[in-house]
Amino acid sequence: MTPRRSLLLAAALLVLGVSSAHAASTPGQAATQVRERLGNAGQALILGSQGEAATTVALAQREYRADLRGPLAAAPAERAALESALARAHAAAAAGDETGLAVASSEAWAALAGGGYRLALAATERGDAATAARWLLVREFRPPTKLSRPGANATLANVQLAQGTLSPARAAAALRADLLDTYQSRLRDALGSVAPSLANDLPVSAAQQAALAEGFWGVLAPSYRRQVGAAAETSVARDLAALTSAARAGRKAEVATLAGALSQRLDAFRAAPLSAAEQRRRASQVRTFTPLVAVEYGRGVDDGRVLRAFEIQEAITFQTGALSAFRDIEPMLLKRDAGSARTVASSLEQLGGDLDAASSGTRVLDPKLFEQRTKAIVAATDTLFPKPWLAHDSSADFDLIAGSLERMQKAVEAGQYHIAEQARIEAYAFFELGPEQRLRGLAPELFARSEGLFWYGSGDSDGLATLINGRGSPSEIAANRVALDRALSEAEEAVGTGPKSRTTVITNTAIIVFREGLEAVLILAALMASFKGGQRRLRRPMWLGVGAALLASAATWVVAQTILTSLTRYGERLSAVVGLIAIGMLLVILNWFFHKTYWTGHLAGLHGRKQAMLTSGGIAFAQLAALATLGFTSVYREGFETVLFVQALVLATDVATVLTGVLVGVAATVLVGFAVFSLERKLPQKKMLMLTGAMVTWVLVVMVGTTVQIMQTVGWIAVTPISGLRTPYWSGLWFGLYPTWEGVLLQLAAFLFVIGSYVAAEALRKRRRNRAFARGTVLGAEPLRERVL
Amino acid sequence: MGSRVRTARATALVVALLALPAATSAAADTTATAGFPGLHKRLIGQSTKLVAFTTEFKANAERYNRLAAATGYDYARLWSTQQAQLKPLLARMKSDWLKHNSDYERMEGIVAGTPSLVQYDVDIDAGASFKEDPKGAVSFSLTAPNGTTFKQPGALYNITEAALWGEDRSLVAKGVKPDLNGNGTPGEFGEVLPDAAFLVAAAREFDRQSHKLLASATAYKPNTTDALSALVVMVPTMGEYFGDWKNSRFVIGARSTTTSFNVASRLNDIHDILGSLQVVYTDVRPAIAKVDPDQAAQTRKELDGLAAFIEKIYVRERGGHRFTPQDADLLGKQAQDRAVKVAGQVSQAAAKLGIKVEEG
Repeated sequence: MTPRRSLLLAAALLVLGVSSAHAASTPGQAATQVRERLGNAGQALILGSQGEAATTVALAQREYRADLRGPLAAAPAERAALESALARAHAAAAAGDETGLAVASSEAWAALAGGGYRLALAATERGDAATAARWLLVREFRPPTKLSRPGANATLANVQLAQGTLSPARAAAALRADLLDTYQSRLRDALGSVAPSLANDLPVSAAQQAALAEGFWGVLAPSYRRQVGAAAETSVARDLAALTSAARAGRKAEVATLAGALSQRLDAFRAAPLSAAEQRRRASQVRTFTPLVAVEYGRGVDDGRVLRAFEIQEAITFQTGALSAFRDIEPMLLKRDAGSARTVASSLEQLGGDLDAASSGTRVLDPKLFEQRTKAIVAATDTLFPKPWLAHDSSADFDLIAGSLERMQKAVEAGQYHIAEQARIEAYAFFELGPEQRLRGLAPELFARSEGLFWYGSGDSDGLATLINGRGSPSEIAANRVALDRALSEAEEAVGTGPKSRTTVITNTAIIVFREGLEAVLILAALMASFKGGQRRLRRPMWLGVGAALLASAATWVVAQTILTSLTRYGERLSAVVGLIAIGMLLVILNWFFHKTYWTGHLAGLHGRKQAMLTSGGIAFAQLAALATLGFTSVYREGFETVLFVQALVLATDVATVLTGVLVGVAATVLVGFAVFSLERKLPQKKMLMLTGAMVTWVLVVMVGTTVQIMQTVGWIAVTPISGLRTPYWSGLWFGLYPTWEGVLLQLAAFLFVIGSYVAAEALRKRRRNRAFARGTVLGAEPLRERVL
Repeated sequence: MGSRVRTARATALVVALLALPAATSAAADTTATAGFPGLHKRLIGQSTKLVAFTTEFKANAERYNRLAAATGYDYARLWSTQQAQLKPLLARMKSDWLKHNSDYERMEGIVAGTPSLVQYDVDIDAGASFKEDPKGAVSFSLTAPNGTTFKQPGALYNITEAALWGEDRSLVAKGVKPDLNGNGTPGEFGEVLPDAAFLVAAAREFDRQSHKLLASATAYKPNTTDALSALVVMVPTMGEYFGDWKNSRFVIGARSTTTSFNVASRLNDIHDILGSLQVVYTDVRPAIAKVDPDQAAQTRKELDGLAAFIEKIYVRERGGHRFTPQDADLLGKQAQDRAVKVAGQVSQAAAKLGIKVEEG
């Protein structure tokens, strides 16, 4: 570019700059303008236009004076640093000093960020949300990664401050945590890139990054001073200044030494101490992820060889997650017990080294050794972590779910649908294991939506089970996952923030308890009402079963308080087993009644003894046992789940609220039981028998459907969705009907069994009656088969 | 699941009925599709152009494969007997490739940033090969007409570039040094005979994927969540793209060992991607302005400033300026820092709108 053209361009830029300076109406826009000018000046220097560079910096200085100098008066240190940096930038640009301009630009940038932080914080502390919001637009952010997005805690706190739902002090704490965390991260990144830049013959970049680290230290220094002391802070500041000098001079060895020492000193420092909730979350992640390292490793290794590489990759994911979470709380733990903290950190690192060795095939350790090591780490945290950190935090469950869904998506993208299904089931298991119970009480609509998206669909989404089974495309599955992620995100918030109203929790709890108890009450009321006259004593074994189930539920309550997590883990399997027994008993009793119809008639016909079955010792014992078992299983399968639900909900709310809901639910259930019982007694014999039959058939069909569903969840039965069939959610709710071939066919079989039994009994009755008429005798045997159907 | 599902769903029925009005208004925030004319037009328009390119590219690859197959894939014989046909054919394929390299890039910001479309980005433009990165590999494998299979070979633009210009020596004929440009110096950069079986298999897959993308793009209903996600996910990839540029022939010349971005400058891609993100921002800006007009204006300015910054470098490179690795690093850092700021601002707007930005 010729000098004449440069001059013309500079004049044009000045005119443009002045007009745009007037356009910058907020501190955020003014700061952006200044930063962009400095960047453009650097670009101009690279492109060989010294004059343009100098003019551009001059514009930045002019815009600073017009729009920022006044507002920055309340942050004098940052303002002075910015003015000084701009002056040096101008001098460097005019001299064609690329390094000098890069260093001065970094210093100006950091000074702007620091000033913005101070003024946003000050405004927040005095409750001035509008001013704080304007200064927040000056802030920088952590660079997004594949797994993380820039946080918005300061912004959201500002919104809440403006709405009056957050106090100035709490809003200021959130802002401080967000921004200090951001600038510490930026400092760490800048510091980490100084030595590599120099090593790669990028001296200007090295100096620029060193200056940036030094500049950001200005934001963090007060926090360090408070935590570590003034002398230590001065020492860090001195070393950072020395690093910038060494980088500018290209002294590689000195840069490497200084950068290494500074990184080590700053690793144990956290400018924005984590909130109590965040600390608990990280601690919970360490304790949740660490055992899973051994679990995944054990699945991937056999006989000294890696058989399933993806399991090792999953183990690495958990190890990385555990170590990362530990690093976040390490500074606090170093103060508490430095020796133990270092031991845990090095043990977690060692796991990573061993996993890398296994992954590359150089050394494959015995899974038992892995398990011992992970157990030792968790045991060490038992004493190292403060007590409040030891309670399970539901946020860690959501992290696990997200991790499994991520693996599912990757497997789908690689066309490995069986692995994707495993990952889906794993994600669902984490959902059940963790937040499900609380969600049912706090936000049941979110629970239903999440569950639908995990399985057979919700809204416009087909559901992951359906999509994976149908080998849906990665984009289809990704779209479903987006919907699920949204639901889970809302669920995490609902679980994290707790109940919005006591009445809601009571209502939800009552509805759940009522629904859990409905099947049991219907079976019991229907059968007991039909036991009349000499058969009244058959009610006794059922009552005994019910009593035993209530006692067992109470025992579960006590046990669950100590081993809730384990119980929940095995809850589905236990549910499946109890459900199977209940179905078996129902079928046995149905069969027995039909059998009895024939034998009663037969015996009555031959010997005239009506109650032979009921007095026959061997058969009577079987009946008693069957009725007692039915009474037990009907009540316990619901009681067990209610106990788990209530206990989990108590953790999120309080005992009184939950128990109130339970009592309301139980009362409603008992009322329905009495109503059915009374209705049956008042109805004519035939109508009563029809009602009983309909109810028991409904219960059997629902029980079969839901038990199949549970068995599919725990992997005991295959899942084959019926293509194109989308059942409404009430069909699952009231009829246990889910769109899988296994569930529908078995329900159909159960229904046909009842109908077939009825038809068979009816045929027998007619044949017997015909024979009796033929002999001229009508047997007076009770039509017992009608008591069941 | 089991009986808990039933009970929860019973509760859900009641609660869902009670919560219906709130749910409806929340849904309206994220599914409004009326306000994305630019985004949708760009997506459909570029997908259509891509289909036209891959259709032509496949036809030419088929022709090249037929010529090679006629010699039993004896490339020495192919070169000695079919030069007259090969020279214009390969030149045409290369010029088409270069000319239409932007067909995808001009919508990449949208495709790669939209969760339901992102797999196309992996397969067409960004995915690694299985050998390089099993976890980040493309979803497809290729089976050549001669039965050879290529397990998850890498993104389609990259593998076709590597085969046509010979950046991956395993994808070109061995022992033949053709003088394709006829300047008397055979074996210069790009003067290779691609492995015809591989090239045709890749071209077929490319064509299949582009048609699928057009169908998905046509069916796609843009929404605020996706638009914000695209901006947050894609804007900060500047640093990565500048890294590609820094390591390509455009900056370090013959020392480059990369197998892509050597025939069309990565700056071209950066320029095009930012263009598509500006379109996205134009569509989503009204939603941001509703919750924070200052921020909406500032982000517009920052995004346009970034685009202007890139444009200037791009124009100078096209004008013949050669940047040093140090230049590329400084410019890349500057672009990345600005991009992070834009992504951060968009994340704040998303939070204010109550929208969770999806992970990439």
